[in-house]
Amino acid sequence: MRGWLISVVGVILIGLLVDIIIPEGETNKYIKGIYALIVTIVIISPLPKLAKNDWKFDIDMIENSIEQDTEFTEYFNKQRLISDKAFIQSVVKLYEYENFEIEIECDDGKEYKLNKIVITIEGLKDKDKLAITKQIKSNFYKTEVIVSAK
Amino acid sequence: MKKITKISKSIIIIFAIFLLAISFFSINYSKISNSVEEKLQIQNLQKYQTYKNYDGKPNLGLIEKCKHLTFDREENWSNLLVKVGKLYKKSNELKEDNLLQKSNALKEVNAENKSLLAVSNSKNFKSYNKFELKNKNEIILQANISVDKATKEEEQSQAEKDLENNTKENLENLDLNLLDQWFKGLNLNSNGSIKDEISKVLKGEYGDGFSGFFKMAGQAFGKTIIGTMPTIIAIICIALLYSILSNLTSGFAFSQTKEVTYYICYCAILILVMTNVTIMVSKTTQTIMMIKDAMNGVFPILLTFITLLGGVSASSVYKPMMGILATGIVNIICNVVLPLFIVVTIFCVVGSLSKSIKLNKLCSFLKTLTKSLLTGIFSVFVTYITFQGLTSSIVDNISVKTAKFAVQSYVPIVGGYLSDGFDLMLASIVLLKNSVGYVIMSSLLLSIMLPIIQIFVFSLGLRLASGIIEPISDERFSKMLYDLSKNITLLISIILAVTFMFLIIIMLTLTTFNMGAI
Repeated sequence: MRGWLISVVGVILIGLLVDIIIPEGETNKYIKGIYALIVTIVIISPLPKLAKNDWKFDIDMIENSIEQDTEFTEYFNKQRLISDKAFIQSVVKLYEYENFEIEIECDDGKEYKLNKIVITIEGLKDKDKLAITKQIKSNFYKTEVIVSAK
Repeated sequence: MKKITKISKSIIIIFAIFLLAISFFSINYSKISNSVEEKLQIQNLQKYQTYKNYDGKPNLGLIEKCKHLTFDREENWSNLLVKVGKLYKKSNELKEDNLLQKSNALKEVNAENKSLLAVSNSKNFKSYNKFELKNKNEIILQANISVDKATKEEEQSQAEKDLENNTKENLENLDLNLLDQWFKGLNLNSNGSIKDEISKVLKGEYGDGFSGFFKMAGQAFGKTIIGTMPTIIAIICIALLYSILSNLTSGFAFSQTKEVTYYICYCAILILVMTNVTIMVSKTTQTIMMIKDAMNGVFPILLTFITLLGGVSASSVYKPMMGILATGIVNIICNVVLPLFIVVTIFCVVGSLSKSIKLNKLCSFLKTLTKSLLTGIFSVFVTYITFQGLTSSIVDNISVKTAKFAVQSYVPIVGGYLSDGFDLMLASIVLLKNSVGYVIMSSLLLSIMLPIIQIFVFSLGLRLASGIIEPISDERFSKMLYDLSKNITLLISIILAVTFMFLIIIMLTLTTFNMGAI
């Protein structure tokens, strides 16, 4: 590109010089014709190169150049697990149970996904079982919730 | 004996009947009173749901609790409710920041409550007649609502606190090194790091805003006009000098001498103009590199936020698009569009040098090539990202909402904000995402403003010069200057296109991924 540009500009500047220096006469128009030919050749010269060139784009490299911040994702998912556990605790406490255990199974991948929530409560009444299950299910709609008595 | 036994039998039977009647009536009475109570409570419930001042969902759990309490410790319950209700009503009228006054008011109301309760509790609950029962129930109802409101408000303030803490912690743990470097490189007015800026926005301080932007723009305009004036005046002077030389001396002896003077003047103008043009081009590349740095800093963070907020299908759309913009499109612009622009300007200058050889058509071909390349990339990218981004985010939103709706709408909700499907952790991410986006957008707009104003003023100056030169001097001067000024506006459109593509991604992510909270 650069070489081409310089050659085009150079040819035209030489043409200017020739234009000034050359005396008027018979050969003038032949010289001008040859000169115009040279200019066209110089302008056209990069075209065959363009045709030969293989246009390659490394699309995969470009598309995957932006990566997620995995450290922050891990940190955030940890925090989220803690807050979810606190939420489940507060729900169970609303029904006035004190002794209970919560187990949460979750994926370790990039996406935060709880697979199973198991709550075992001491002295669980039957009518509360369904209510607690529904209550927790309303927040974790994709997870399996199991509430059982100890 | 028979008589005695008959009498005794009849007495026993009568007694039994009497007993039966008593027991029947007593049972009946208790049944009646129970039914009256139940009816009233049902009425209360209905009133409770349609109570005008109450604007939230009925807290069924609380009513359940209160029902249970009426039969056990009726006094304590009504005591508590009436007290809290009154306290809340009075303290609600005071402003939040005056805590001492508030607590004093609470004490006063407490004393009032005691006397009121002494009156209302003087009779036994079961001996109430209908009227009194109704009155009492009215009081209880109001107190109930007040208690519910108070607890809700308390929960809300707690939620706000939790949210603030969560966002702070998340901001601390976010990797903002790249963005911080970029932000410090901008040399804007603020002295702090980008974390300070973001936390300012989180608090609700939006900086100078629109007026500040205009103020800066005005200053920049003034400065650049003064800066470009000498160049323009020099160009006009040279052109004037040429016209004086060529016209007033009634022509040179040879036509070639005139040509040589023309070339010399042309070169003099060219040196002046081209130094400025090179500065403009280098400024454009700098701005695009600056925008690229911003992209490399922001995109990973935004992508993380999108996936955390549940945009599963959206992140798979945004990730390649962000990559294409940050590396692909920026590289195309730096390595193809900008060099093409330089070629166009050089051909434009050289083409008007000589009369014999003209490069106008080649110049216009290259110009259309550059323009169509830029507009093509721009329009394809913008339409694709808008369409795909919006549809994918809608898909994510709907999948979240349907799942929520299917479970939530048939479950009576206990426990306030926690169980409303309002996830505080996700809400903090939404807040963070939006404030990061705001800071990036505002600082980016401020920093691209200066080069755009400089280029614009310079191109305007060139047009002014060509306008002034046209009647007095050679036609080729004014044509060259006019063509150059037209070309230079291409630099503005390059900067604006890149910025707009960047901003569209940011704006889409800001507006669409709020499903965790809203």
